[in-house]
Amino acid sequence: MRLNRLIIPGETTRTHLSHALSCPMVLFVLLLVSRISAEEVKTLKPITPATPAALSEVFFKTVPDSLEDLQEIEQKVISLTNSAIHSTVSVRVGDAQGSGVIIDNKAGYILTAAHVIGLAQKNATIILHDGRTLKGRTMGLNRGLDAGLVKLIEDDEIDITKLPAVPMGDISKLEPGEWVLATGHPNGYQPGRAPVVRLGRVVTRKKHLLQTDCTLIGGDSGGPLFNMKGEVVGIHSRIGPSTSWNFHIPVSAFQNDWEKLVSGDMWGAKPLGQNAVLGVNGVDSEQGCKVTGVTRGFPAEIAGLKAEDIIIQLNNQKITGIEQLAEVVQQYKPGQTVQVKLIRNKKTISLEVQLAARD
Amino acid sequence: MNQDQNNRKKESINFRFLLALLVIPVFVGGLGSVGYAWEQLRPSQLTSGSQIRKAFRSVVSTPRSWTVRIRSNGKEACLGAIVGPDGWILTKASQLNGEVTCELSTSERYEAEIVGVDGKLDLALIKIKANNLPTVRWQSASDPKVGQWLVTPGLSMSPVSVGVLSVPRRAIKPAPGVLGVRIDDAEGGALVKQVMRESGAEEAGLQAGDLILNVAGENIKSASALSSFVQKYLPGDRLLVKVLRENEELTAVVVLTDPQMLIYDRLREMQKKMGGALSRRKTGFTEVLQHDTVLRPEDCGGVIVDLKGQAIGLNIARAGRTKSFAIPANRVVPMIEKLKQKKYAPYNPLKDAKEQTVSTDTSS
Repeated sequence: MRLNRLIIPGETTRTHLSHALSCPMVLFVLLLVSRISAEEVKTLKPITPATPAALSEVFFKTVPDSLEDLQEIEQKVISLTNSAIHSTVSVRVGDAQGSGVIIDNKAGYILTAAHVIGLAQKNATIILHDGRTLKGRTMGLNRGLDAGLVKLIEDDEIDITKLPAVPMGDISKLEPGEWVLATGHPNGYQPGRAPVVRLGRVVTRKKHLLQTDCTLIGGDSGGPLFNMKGEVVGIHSRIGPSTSWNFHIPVSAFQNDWEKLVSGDMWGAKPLGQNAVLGVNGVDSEQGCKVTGVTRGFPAEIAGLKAEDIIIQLNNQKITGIEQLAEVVQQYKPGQTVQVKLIRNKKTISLEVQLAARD
Repeated sequence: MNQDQNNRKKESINFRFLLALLVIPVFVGGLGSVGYAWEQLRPSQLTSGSQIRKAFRSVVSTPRSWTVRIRSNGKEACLGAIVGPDGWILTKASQLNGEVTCELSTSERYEAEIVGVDGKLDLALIKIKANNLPTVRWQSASDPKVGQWLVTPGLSMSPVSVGVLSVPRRAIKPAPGVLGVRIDDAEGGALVKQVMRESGAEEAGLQAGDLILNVAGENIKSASALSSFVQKYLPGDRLLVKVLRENEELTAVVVLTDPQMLIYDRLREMQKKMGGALSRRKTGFTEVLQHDTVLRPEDCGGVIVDLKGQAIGLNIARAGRTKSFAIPANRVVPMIEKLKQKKYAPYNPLKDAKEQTVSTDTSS
C-alpha cells in the first residue's frame, strides 16, 4: 500500500510549478499494517467529560434512508462548522507547512502531525482561521504514530485565552459508519480561504489509525477530524490512491502519552528513507564518542571530522557514546545542518555538518 | 493393548477438543477487546456510495429532468442544464470539441448547435430542436451554508454524486495554459524541439521539427514571443496553430494544457492514482462555490442542487482530490440571456483566429 504524507514542504511554494513539484517530494512508502504496533491502550488522560447532548437516531443508522434523515445530518453538520473552522490553524515549522487544531486555550496547545513539526523545541508559525498570525514552539512528538504537539507563545496583541478551542473525544466509542467532519488547509494556507470543510464517514478503525472518506491532500496534515459532537477524534496523517483512503491518527495517540508530549519527548521510529546519517564509526570514551573512522563521501568526512576526534556535543545535546550519538542524529532530518563540538589534540573545535540520508 | 491405545487416543482427542474450546474463547476475547477493528464500511455505504445516494432520490426527482448528458465527437463530454423550454442548454465550454449531441433523462437524443461561449466562466449555450422542456429552478437569492448538502443530479434516479459546501464563494486565480512543446528560436517562428506526452500539442498532432508560424492570428517571431502570447490563455482554451512542416503549411487546433500536468510523468501518474482525473480547465473563475463532491470531469457542466432540489449553481470543474467548483446561480443566470443574444460569439478557431472570447481578467 502506497500512502502519501499530507505535508507541503517549502514555504515559498507560491508558483504552480513548485506547488506541483512539492507533492512527489514527500512520497513515502509506508506499510500500513506494519506501522500499527501492538501496544496496550493505557488510561486516557486529558479526556473531556462526555457531552450529554444525545445525537439523533439518524447518526446510528447504517445509511440515511429518507429526506428527513439527510436534513437532520445537514442541520447537525452546519451547527458544527463554525467551531470546527475557527479552531483549525495552519502550522509552519521551517520549510514544512501543515494544519493543526487548538484544543486548549489556557496552555495554548495545538495538536498536529509529527511529520509537520519534525523536531521538538523548534519555532513554529501558527496562522489562525482568519489570517492572524501567532508564534508557537514545537513540543513532543511520537514519530511512530505521527502525533505532534505545538504550544502557542503569549502574544501582545492576540489573547490566546480568547481563541476557540475544541475538546478531544473518546475514540473507543467511534465506529465505522460514524459521520465525521474534516478541516484543514489542503495545498497549504491560502490567504482569503478559510479552513476547508469536508464531510465523510469512518470507513474503518484500527487501534492506531482511522480511515475515512473525508478527502485529504498535501497541506491537510495535522488538521482535525471531528465527530458529530464537535470533538476532535483524529488528526490527518496520510492518504492512499482511492478517494476513500484518508488516514487519521486517533486522538488517543495524544491522550495516552499526554505528559510525554507536553514535556517535549521525541520517540518512535521514523518512516523509511527519512533517517539522517553522519558517517562516523566510533567507540564510547570518557568524554564522549571517540571517532575510529569516517566513511568516505559522507557528511562527517566532508565537514572535516577525523579519526581520534572525540565528539562531545551535537547542537545542544551532550554526546556520551556511539550509540547515544546515533540516537541524537536520528532526531534530525537529512539535509539539516548541525554543530558538532569535538576535542582534537586537546583543543575544543566546532564543525558544521550537513546530515545526509541513510539510504 | 489395542483397547488401551484406543482409549488413550480418545483421551487425547478429547484433550485436544478441550484445548480447542479454550483457544476459541481466547480468540473471541481478543477480537472483542479490539471491538469493531475488523469491521469496515462497504463501498455502497461511503458518503457517495450507492446506498446513500439512494436517499437523495426524492431530492433529484425533478432536477434530473433538467439535466442532459452531452457527447462531443462521439465521446462522453459533460452534463448540461436545460435553461429554456425551447431547447436551450447550458454546459461547460471547454469540454466541447466537435459535433455535440444531447441525451435527456427521457432517453431522447438530439443533435445540438453551439450558440455562444463565454470563456471567462467557461460556459457554453447550446440549442436543441425541442419544445416544452422542463427548465432549471434557480436558487440565487442566497448562498448555501458551509456544510450544507450539495447534490449533483445525472440522468438516473440517484444523483451521480453528493457532497457538502467546503468554502464560501471566492475567486480562483487563473493558471496560464501551455501548448505542451519545448521550443527554440528559429527563422520565421518558433521551432518545436519536443512535444510533451499527453499534452494538447501531442493530441493535435504537432511534431518535433515543426516550425510554429502563427498562433490564434498572431505571427510568432521568437520562442519567447510564443510563450508570452500563449500565457494569455487558460488550460482548456483552443488555439489555431499554423506550422511549417517539410515546406508545407499545416494548421492544427491545440487545446491548451495545465502546465502542472506536464511537469513530468510521475506527477501525472500520481494525480491519476491519488483521486482520479481532473478537469482540463479548472482555474480562472471570477467566483466559485467549492464543494467536496467527488466528480468525474465528465460529470461537470450540469446543475448542483440543495436538499430542496433548487439549483444553487452549475458544476464547472473537478479541480483536485478534495475539491470541485460550481459557478453560483446568480453568476450563471445573467449569462443565459447574453449568450442567447450572441453577445459572446461562438469561437471557431478555424475561422476567426483573433476572436477569442477568453479573458484571464478576474476582477469582478
